[in-house]
Amino acid sequence: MRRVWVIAAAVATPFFARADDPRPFHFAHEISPLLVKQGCASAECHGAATGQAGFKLSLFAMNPAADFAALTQELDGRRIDLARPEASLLLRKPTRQLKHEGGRIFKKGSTDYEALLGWIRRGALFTADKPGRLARLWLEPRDGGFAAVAEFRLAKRLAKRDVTRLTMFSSTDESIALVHDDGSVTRRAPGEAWIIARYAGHNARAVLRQSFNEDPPDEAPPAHPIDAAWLAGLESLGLRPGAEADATVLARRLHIDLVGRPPTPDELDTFLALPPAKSLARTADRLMRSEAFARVFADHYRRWLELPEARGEKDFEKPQNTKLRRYLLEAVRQNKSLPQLARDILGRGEAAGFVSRHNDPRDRAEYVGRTLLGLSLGCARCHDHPMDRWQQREHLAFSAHFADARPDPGGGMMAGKLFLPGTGKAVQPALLRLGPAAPPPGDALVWSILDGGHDQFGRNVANRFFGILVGKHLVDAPDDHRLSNPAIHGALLDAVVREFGRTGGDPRELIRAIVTSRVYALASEPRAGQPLATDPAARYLARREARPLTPAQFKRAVESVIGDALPHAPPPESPLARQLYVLNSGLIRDGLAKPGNAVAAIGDFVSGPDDQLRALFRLVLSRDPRPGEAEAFLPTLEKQGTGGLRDLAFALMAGREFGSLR
Amino acid sequence: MLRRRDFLMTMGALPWLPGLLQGAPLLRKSNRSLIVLWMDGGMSHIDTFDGKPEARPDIRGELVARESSLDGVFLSEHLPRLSGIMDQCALVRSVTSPEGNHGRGSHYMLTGRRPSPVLDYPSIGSVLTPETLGDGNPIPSYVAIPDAHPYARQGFLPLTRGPFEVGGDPSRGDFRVRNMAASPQAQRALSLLQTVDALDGKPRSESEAARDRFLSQARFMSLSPEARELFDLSRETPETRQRYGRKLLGQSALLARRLVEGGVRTVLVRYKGWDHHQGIARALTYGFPPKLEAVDQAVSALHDDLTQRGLDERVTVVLASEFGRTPRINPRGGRDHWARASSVLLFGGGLKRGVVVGKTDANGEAPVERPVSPADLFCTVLGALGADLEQVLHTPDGRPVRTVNESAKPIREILQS
Repeated sequence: MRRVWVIAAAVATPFFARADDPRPFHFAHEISPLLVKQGCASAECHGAATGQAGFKLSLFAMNPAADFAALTQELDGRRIDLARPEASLLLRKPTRQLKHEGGRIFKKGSTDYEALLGWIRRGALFTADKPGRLARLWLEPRDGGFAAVAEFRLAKRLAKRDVTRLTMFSSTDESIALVHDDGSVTRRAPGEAWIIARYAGHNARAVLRQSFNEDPPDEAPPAHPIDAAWLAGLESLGLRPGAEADATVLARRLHIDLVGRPPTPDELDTFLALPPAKSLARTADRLMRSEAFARVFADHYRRWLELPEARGEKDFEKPQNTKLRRYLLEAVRQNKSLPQLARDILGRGEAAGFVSRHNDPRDRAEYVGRTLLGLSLGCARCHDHPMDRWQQREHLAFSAHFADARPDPGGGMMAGKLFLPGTGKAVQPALLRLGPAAPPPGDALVWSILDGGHDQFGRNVANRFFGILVGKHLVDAPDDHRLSNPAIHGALLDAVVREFGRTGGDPRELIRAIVTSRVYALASEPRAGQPLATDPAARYLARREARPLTPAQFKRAVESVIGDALPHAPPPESPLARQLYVLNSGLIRDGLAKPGNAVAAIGDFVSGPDDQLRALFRLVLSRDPRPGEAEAFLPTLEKQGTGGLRDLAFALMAGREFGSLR
Repeated sequence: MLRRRDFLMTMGALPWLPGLLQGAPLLRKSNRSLIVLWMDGGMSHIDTFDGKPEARPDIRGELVARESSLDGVFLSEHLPRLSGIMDQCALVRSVTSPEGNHGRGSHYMLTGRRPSPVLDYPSIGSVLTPETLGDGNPIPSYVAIPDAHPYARQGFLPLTRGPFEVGGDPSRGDFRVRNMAASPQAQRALSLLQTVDALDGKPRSESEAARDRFLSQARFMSLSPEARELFDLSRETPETRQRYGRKLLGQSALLARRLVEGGVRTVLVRYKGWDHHQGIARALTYGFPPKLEAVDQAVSALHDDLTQRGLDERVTVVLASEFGRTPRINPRGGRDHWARASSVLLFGGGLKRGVVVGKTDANGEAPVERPVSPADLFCTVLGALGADLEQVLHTPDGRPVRTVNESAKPIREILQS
């Protein structure tokens, strides 16, 4: 009750300092945000690198001190006229009393005009009366929209104020909810949208959900912790969870995910012998002990750490890349915990050299941020970014941490330095502060990533494993966790992170937890009447979305059908080149021409077209032929014998279903 | 012989080909096209288009430069044909860039953007590729010969806007576009494949729907006589093939001409081997064929051929490289990377003829007149093609990015108004 009152009071008194107002004042809290909200400090206007018409503001007004200087000191101070405040350029330009390229920004007498006028009348100060520090920003619901509330830490107390008028609002999905300048919201469609608020360098967000109004499922709450969070998320959106996939689909999915190829007919039988839930757990455990699993996941790790693929011996290859790849393979084989993996590659042991894959300390810092923390620091390399918590100086300080040691004139080596551009001053190295905890003494890089009072490493890894197995990252892109890029089903990600924490970052346990969930087992059939591109069921994980086999998976799938390795390169990435490859490359043709291949064996050892067709479908698509398929293809086998069998095998492998992971 | 019309009728009878071939004209000939001749590795400006005959021997190098048909423009004497047609071309001698590393320099030139730690920008060919595979485009919109430079790809745009790589050297007798020749087995299995997909029902995801469209395109490419003809250099007369030069660059340029004639929007010809850190004079003038001779022959033949076929107003040609090379010959007789100055040759659609823009100083070190950034150049080429320079692209997370760098300005002096 009291909190509501405080806000109401703040709304009642305008926050702006009038000439006679003795309240505390800070340029950064009251003038900078106004310049941002009116678009003055945008890249198209005075925020451009070279300013506009001789007047330069920092981009998004992220540097209030410089902007204050530009306003009050440049041009002999003509932008501000203290003697005749109304005559200040700062007021005459945007009201178009003088020519202004950007047109009229506000009217004389408007609130913004009065705010600036009041500031000038009061002496155009940077600060007055100990304005305190902006400690926190948050959003509170108001009339179906939002109010932005800021908390300032003053000398002896905290003060809350409504800063809605000075806050920039945006929506993560304007097709779902549109947010206006005053924080009010227009809801447009069912779904989830986050409203992001930005004021004086602080960001806040709040979620808006509008229900799809589907009937909730009538079932007992699930025992699986991941499913509980997932179903709660769907319920909050009024989405009904889709059906589970057929056991044959699950068998194919699990094998391709874990060992990179479809199941053999024997493996399929084993899988189908038990109920899917049991089979998924048992088969996953069995497959995760295999060498094929180690290779598949070592390749996932390789991509996660941005290592290039191993190439032929003819190419030059950095030795540390080879070493790291070998280490990763061994790490999957031994089921090394993921925090341990991070410790190893950042350490000095056999897997060292991870960071030094890049030469520039700034590249190193960004590389560590992207891969180990899922954070994109890159934006802050060039300028402070309003939607990014990282500032340029933090980027520089973290980069300085990765500067190479250099020879000391007095002998030996001394710590490397990174110099502030333009000034020649060395930057004091510092680690990223992600959590509240204070770092221990010494080299605390590993600590700052794995501990440090935050779970960003776990969130990053959990999100990546979920994406690998379910085909959709909850935070997408996976290297860009930030306030304005929220996860779909945040609670689901939290649940996966808890599984990660519970198992101490054991990769096999994490995989097991994901593949035994119902989210993993969803079917990929779209619901009738939904256009594929905008199907909310796919977007919010109420059903699985089919995706193409990766080039490596496609090649291995063909090899698994043939029963032998093939010398061909995997298909190209380009989608047209891939289809040409499928039809004409010879991968499938040569495989089918191999003596004793598994398709030929069906012709040799299985008698009768019915059984041959069934065997072929189980071999290629891991399922039995449907009645329509039997009707369509039996004549081919009856009339053309082994040739027909081979052609049908070709057509099945070139088909849509085979090339897709459903 | 199977005519295109007959072929279309046969294919049109197949219900599973989703309207790809019916109705709309095969290729929209009214569209402008672009050929990028990419001199991969960093072409020395002083030894090609920005000769400095008056400079000290360690600057001007061993190769002699002579004045071309354009006043005050000195070309290497190993480029006699080009020298003769300079009054038909536009030459920019003052391209200057801060990126002196192969990867970064190529990125800037091919995408019009300096490399960014956060975004992978699309190349000019991908920018020019339409967003969706329309009904009238069974031929790829962007083709790379023989393959695409890593920064000549789609960047943050979807894979569907990437280059189609022919994957082979067109000068070889056995040249075939990679995987384009229909295997007999594939042909036999095609009707079965059609049934397999039809019984599978409708595609279940966007990616499956895209696969269906690309499979149709792949079938068209490997079965339609017209598509095969397009890539078939043996359809050219021996004289024409000879005129372009029989080696990689010449035959690639000829193939590029065939492709743009057939409606391909962008062709990138990647000609490697310009990174002459040692023995540059010899490297440029010896070999089979000598590098400069290959360029001279192929580019002048392309120019003349396009003009004779009346394509010179429709097709824009750009010859460029990631950077120039050091004015001073190094102790190994080579030149090293030099991004402060390089030359770019342009001709064809949307461009004025016989214009030279900018000038470097006496030693070819830096522009003294009209410096032009790779971003300006990118913008100019799009301008020559009549593209909308205000167009905005979207990254996968929805961030709007202007196709052309905000600060870039087209070089008005060489654009037809």
